[in-house]
Amino acid sequence: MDANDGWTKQMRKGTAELCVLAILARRESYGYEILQQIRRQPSIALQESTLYLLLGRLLKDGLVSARMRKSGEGPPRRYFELTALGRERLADMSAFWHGFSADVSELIKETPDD
Amino acid sequence: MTELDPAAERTLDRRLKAIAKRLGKAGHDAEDIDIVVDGLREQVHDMIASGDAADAGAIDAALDSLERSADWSEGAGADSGHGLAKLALGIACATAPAAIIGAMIADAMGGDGGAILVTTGLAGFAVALILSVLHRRTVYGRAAFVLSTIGLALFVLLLIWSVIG
Repeated sequence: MDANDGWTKQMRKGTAELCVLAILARRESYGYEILQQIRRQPSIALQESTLYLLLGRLLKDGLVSARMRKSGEGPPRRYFELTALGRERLADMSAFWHGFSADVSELIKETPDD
Repeated sequence: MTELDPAAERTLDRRLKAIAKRLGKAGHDAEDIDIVVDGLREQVHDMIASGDAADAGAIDAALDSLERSADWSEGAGADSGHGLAKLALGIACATAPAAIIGAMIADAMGGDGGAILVTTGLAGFAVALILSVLHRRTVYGRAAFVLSTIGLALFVLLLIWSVIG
């Protein structure tokens, strides 16, 4: 199976929200800027289609707010910012992630090699 | 500010319009579509500013690459009610002939068959209307909403007319 299909895709999708919330916790940002920051971590490899639609969902869920700001390099940009609810969600997801990844790492470590 | 030449601007608009149409068909609402289209527009302008794209051909190539990697139907915001919205549209379409034929028979003969068909049609429109209201964010949901609302409105008018007549 291609590395871009199947399980890698599902794992990336599962963590996409946490990654986007973590980036927006640093400062407000626009779609392409978020994408570029995510792409600095090659294993995350989020696609435009996933990111922009995810931002739409976060907006509807009240986890981020959006405002248009003038840009020196083209049309006005839609900047996204974490709301109080978004920060709360990030804290919950981060806490869960730390426990989850530690447990999975422990399991992998204990799995005997064939 | 980075300016696009008119041909490049037209290419960008055409490609973004096509993407918006695909997103609409995939069941995404207007707000999602705006975010994607604005995001891609920002992205192309940033690419131009950094010297990666400059003319219509380069914009076409850039959007080709973006579209190839995209999976719009499975985006994180895809509406899970898409199937039910299609069902609502199907019910509204399927019951419309029953309701219309039933109304004609009932009006002409006043028989039980006509009344049953009228009731079936009305029930179908009502179910379609409820489902479409629940899933009005999708294209199919909106279409079902329009169709079932028109259907119900016509029946109310017909009812008033028959009572007055």
